[in-house]
Amino acid sequence: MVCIVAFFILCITSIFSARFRRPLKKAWACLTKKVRLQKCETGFKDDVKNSVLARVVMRRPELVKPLGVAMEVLAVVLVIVMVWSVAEVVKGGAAMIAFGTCDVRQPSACVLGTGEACNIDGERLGFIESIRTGQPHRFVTNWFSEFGEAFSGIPVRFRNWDAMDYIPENASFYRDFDWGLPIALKILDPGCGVCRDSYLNKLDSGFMDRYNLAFLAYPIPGVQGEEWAFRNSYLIVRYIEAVRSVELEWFLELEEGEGEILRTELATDWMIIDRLFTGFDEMGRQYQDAFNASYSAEEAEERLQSWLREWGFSEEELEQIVDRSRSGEVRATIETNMNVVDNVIRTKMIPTMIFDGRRWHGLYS
Amino acid sequence: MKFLRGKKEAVDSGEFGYLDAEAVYFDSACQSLRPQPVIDALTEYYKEFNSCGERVKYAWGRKVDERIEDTRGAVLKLLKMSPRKYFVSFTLNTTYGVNLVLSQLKEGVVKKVVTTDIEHNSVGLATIAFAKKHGVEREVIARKDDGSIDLKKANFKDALVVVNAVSNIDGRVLKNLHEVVDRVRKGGGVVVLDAAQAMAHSRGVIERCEADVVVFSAHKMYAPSLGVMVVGRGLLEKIDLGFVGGGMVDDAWEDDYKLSYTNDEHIHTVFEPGLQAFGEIVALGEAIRWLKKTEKTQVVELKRLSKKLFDFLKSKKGVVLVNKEANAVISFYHKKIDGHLLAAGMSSKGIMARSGYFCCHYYLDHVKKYPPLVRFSLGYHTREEDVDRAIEALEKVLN
Ligand SMILES: Cc1ncc(COP(=O)(O)O)c(C=O)c1O
Repeated sequence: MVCIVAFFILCITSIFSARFRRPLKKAWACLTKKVRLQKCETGFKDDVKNSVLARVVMRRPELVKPLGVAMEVLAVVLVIVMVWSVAEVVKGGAAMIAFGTCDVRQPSACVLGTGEACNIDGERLGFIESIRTGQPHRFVTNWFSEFGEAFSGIPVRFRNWDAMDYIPENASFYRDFDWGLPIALKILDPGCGVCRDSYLNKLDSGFMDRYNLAFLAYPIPGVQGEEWAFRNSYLIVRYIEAVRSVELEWFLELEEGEGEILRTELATDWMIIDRLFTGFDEMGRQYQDAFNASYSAEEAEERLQSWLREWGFSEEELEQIVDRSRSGEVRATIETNMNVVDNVIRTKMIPTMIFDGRRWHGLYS
Repeated sequence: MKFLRGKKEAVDSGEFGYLDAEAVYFDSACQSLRPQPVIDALTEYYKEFNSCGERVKYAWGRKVDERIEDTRGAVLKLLKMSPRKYFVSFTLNTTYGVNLVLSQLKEGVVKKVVTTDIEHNSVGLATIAFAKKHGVEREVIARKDDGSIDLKKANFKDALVVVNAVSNIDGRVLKNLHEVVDRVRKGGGVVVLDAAQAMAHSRGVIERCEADVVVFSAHKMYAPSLGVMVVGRGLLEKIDLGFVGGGMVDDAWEDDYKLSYTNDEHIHTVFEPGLQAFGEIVALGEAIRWLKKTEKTQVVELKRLSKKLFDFLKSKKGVVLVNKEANAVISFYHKKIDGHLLAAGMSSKGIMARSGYFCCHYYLDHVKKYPPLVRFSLGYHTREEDVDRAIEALEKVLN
């Protein structure tokens, strides 16, 4: 144990000073048990211990024994901590490759590279908490399940992604479908600021002219007692799904030769997103900010309805959409979509895009 | 004055005056420190006549030859051994010397191999290897507390006997060395003496001895690192040379050679394959001169200081001494404190002493089952204040 600790410490100190490289070699030999202990010499472990105890023995010989024991114990603790931290690094590295964040359960807790995304955080049982509640085994099993999740996520990340496999069947494309262009899917949360930035960047770069783009609306669940990460996201998503569902029905009811009623420039689901991400209310607030921070649920719903009216939906049609938004059918659709995101696409960060055979995380730029 | 020893005479004579005054060295049994004249002799060789001996005709080389001849003579004279019966070969160290003899002894010359329990590994291992190679019995005799061998129990008939004259554990002397040698030779055997520890401070025991070979390390007797073999001429009949090369032949042909050692003038070449450590050999000559000049007074002081340290250790409750009596080599252990730790602790105060089993672990570890020991070995460089420093440092610790 002492050898292992010495080896790790010397590994680090050797980076800074050549003085430590000779003992490092010895520690390595000691570690790999290459040295058969020669009786003419002492072992490396005793050298390490003695280097500390040598000063003690001359002044307070009675302290040598307890200190020696303390060093052995400390070495065991340090080894456990080191093994654990190495395992954490491996786990974090795997998670980074698989999900673009080093923390599987709580991506926002990872200090590496999660700045430009909205994270899908889960609940985590802390070590202290697990001890306090008398279930340390759960801490261990959770840890290993995260480990497994990180590693199993790697092949998923690198498989050949086809947006078509994940586009909800009633979603619409931003522009009329063009057979000559590839298909892209964006997973977004209406409340997520990075999704908005991504959207603006895509508009700027003409992404929608180069891809057939559809979106999957995913309200990020909240943590610590909050139901949703952004308070009105679920409501907005319900309206989006209601519009999609109702409009699909209307479309299917059309008689042959009857033209589709196009009230707006874009399909209605995209209109909602576009207004939310690019529009401002009468008080000059950007809509997304207002929905996230200012509007109550009622105000938010009124606002959505006023948009639909503005876009030419009749009161009767509006009623149908409002009813649908509260229906179990829409809730079930949302749940299905979320399930696809969590368990099939397995992303931890929003926006996630699927195009060009790959899965992309975070801000599109 | 940090790099000058405090002792006035030493500074005046300049012998060990170059040492760091703060350093206290107690490992002379492994390697003694070199007095200034020896260092000067080595430097002189390097600076003034650095060249090959024994094969060249130019001036420097001839000077090397002369000095080496002188050293060979000085070794024999020091041991009071006759050049008519003995010659001197140089090698790397004691271990090498012992092995050169044992590994080249003719098959069937001896019927068994005998050694003792307190041998250094250089003898212990070499005799084990010999017994295995020749398929002969190996007997390990227990030395008596006074260092002698109980001749009543010993059977040396046709035996190869390899023993130390002085032990590196506690300085025990093979008191009946001459009787042992006599018995072995009368029994038709071969006796090889390990004189590594004897040469510096207990040389009397081997003087005038009639052993077949006496081997020692110059580095334990104030000279540079070098092995010395004093070989009885009669031994050569029993040697089957297998270690040969440059510097050993008069002539060489496609598939044969004529060895020089058959010519009396070059007899020493029998154990000297390849280029020798000429500078070290020259400086050994100087060390012998220095010893002869100074040891009479120095040995008295060494004995006094050894006794002071021995008495101090003996007075400590926790200390178990291996030595039965005071000696320049003193080994002990403490009942509670690990020997290596004690050595490391002393080192943190500038005091250098050995710890462990000093390459005698068959006896110390397996026979005696001692914990790792601490060994002080004093030399002519040791001053009273060095001993006082050790006593002061250990005063509290060893209670
Ligand atoms: C009694 C004895 N024999 C042999 C040796 C081996 O000497 P070297 O290592 O110079 O060959 C030693 C060295 O400590 C010794 O003390």
